Amino acid sequence: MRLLCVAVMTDARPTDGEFAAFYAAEYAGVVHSVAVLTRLREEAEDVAQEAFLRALTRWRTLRDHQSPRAWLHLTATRIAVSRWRHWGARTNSSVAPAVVAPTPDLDTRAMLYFALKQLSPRQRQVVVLHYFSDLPIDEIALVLDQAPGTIKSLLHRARTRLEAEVER
Amino acid sequence: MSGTFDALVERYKAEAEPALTPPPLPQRRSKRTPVIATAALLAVAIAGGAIALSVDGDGHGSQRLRVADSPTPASSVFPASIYPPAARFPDWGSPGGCPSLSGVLQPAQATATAAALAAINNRGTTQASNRAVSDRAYWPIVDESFGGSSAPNAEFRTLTPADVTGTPASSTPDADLIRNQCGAATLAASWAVSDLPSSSPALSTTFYLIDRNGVWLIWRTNP
Repeated sequence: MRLLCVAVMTDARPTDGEFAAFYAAEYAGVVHSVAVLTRLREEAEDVAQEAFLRALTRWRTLRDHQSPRAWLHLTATRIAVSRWRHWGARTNSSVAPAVVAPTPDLDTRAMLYFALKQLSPRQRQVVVLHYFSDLPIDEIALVLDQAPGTIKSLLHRARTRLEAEVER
Repeated sequence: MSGTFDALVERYKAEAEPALTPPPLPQRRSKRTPVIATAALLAVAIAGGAIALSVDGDGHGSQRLRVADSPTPASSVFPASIYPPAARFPDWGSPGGCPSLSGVLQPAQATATAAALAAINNRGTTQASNRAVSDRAYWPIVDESFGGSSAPNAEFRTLTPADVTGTPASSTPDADLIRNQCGAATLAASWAVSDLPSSSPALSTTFYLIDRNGVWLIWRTNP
């Protein structure tokens, strides 16, 4: 886990109050959403930090985005899915997230983790955005630059696969 | 659609931790010198608090370091962003504790040993200089070492890369202990450096360090 990639540097200036509010409002939600992809909550927090850092660097334009929240959650899931691929390529590594933190919700999270593992990266991303980040289909379509029908189709196929996995 | 997946999602949401506090707000990155790393290095350099260090700035990048010759309040030398309180002090037969994970970075395997070695070699011979390269979780051990009148590190030798081996803490014999007492995240973030005394391998010491915002800190040693 690359923890809290926060760089505090000399020319840091007072952070935009709007961004601070955005950060406070969305942080827990992002962590919880991507935790189904990372399994480790600490890793999810790291992913969230990176997503917020990216948001901060482009806040001037992002604040005028039609849905900064959708952009943020999409960015977080992209980072998590990307790391998932990376972990998958080095499953023997001692720093891969094979270590599972003893959290009370491990069973649920583990079930979801393994079910989501059966999906394609795009399906996984859309499922997390819709069911865990609670983004409406229109907003997902907006940030993914896809037609809403495409998102619905992706979700439908993913749900069919997930139901089969969960009922095993 | 059947309700099985929905039920699992609902259960997952219901199990969400109610109070997940965001860490300090991220700041914009800069190509300039990290002020905190600079402060920490100076904290090492001043070794003993004989010189006061403070950081002045207008919040817009024009911060400057000011050095005075008066005794230093601990808070100036040891900023909380680098030296936050320890996470916990488990009952594990050592006065040391578990480090806070605030600001801690995942060690980069290629450079971790060299960076950790620099911190180990910067311990110096005073209580303050030892504290400067240590996480607060380790300060009780530093303080205990300096409880007497002599400086225990007065004769410590400078280690070269040839004198040590560096590994992730997860591959050391202490891995289970650290995981059980301090958590998997602390274990994953820790880097272990062992010295290899040629005359007596049994006298080897393993240092456990973390990288907090670019500053490497000792948080445990064994023995």
